[in-house]
Amino acid sequence: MGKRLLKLDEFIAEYPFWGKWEVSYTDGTHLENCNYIKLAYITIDESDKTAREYPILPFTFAPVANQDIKSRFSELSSKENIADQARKLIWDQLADSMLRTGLLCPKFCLMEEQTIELEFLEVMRQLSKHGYLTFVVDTGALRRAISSFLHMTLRTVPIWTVVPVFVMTEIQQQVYEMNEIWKKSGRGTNPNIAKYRVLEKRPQVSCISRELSHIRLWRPVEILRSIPQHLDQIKIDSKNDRLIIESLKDFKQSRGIQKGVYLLTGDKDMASLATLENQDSLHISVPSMRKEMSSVRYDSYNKRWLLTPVHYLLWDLAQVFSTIRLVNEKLSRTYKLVYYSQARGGFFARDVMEIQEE
Amino acid sequence: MKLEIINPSTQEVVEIYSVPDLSILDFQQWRNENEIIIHLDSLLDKVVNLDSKDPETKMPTFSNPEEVDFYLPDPLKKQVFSVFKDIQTDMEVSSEEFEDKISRPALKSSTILTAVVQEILQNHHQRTDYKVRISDG
Repeated sequence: MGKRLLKLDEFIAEYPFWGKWEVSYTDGTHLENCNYIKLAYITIDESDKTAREYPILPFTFAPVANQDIKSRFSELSSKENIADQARKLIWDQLADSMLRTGLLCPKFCLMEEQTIELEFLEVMRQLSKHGYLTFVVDTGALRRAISSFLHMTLRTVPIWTVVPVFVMTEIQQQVYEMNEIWKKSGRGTNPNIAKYRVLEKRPQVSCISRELSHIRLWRPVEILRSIPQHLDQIKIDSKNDRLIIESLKDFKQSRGIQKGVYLLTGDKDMASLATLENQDSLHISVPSMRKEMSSVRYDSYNKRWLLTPVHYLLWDLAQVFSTIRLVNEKLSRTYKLVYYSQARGGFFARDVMEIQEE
Repeated sequence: MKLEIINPSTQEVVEIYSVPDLSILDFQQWRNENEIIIHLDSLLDKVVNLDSKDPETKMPTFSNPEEVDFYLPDPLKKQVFSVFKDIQTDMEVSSEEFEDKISRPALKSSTILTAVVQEILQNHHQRTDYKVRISDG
């Protein structure tokens, strides 16, 4: 079996894909390395000749029935609630991956000055009226790569991304918890099926760090360090939400900016609360996955076709599910994309993967 | 192809989606029509069931859009093209020609139309009473 360490740009440029591929995952935290859970089928309806001429080709992604995921977990664990919860969690993670890589378009709700706009094109038009935009982001928005989406869509509007320091502390907490789970699993040698919830934690670290790295190469990202003093007194579970809203207010006050500053959040309640406090917000949610999703999207705001490279999706899935196996029976070819490997050397912010070819 | 979104109560065209890469002749069921009017809430069902195969060859019809943009953050896209260029040094075409070529893959007519319809549904999802007039006008 050949092993190679590579970056995403190398993966896209050097590995042509065609034909039908079965996608499954294993994860040393909760699955024995011989146990795979089937996730989806990817079909690139082209020949090898075309794939070599056009390394980025359209494909379809068809997730397996959500009941199949549940059945597979039921085979591995006698606890029915684990199978059911794992099924739901995996389904949500797949939808998030589709969103991050452009196979699904986020649903927006723009809330400003007593008005609510829900239709995509209109939301983009309203946002683009500003000379520049500042988005104060929460963890959910970062995890779903919404800043990147907005950079790619609102191409002519300069965008400033502001990350309250409390968001970074949330990520820090996730890193700690993930490391603990990984250590307890004997670094993949002693998995525990009950630890499937790591699938929820990992994108909070891997996908967010990829998102921040990408935006940084492109547009400004500011980590906002202000800590409103009076909030030390607050003892509520949603303290971080409050701190993020207060950071938004502090930011506007200290910079003397009132317009074009939005809270970008995946939390409906936080978006509503911010609006009640006269802060504009842009809420994002994930649309439902369809039986089959295409990698071709029409962007009506810019009147252009968008095509997602299959590699980008596979990369993202490996960052969530730890090890992604791709099998093409017709070509007798198997690839594994491995997140936990020497490639990363323990640095989660290093966007490198190991590919194994059989 | 032109897809016009119509408000049925005022008959006003609220949005026009022009898709020059596509013709209603690409779809068997529409070959004898000048225009087709479909309710927004049944648009996707109608479109996914269209036959977009060439009647003679029985192969899917394709379109070559002017250009596609790869869904990747800009810095990453630049890096990808740079690696492509390094690999393609032995090719006869220049790196610019290669970059231009790979940005124009042929796309199935059915894929293109479905993508436009999904975008329309996203932009007008609160207006299921609206109609869509499809023509080559």
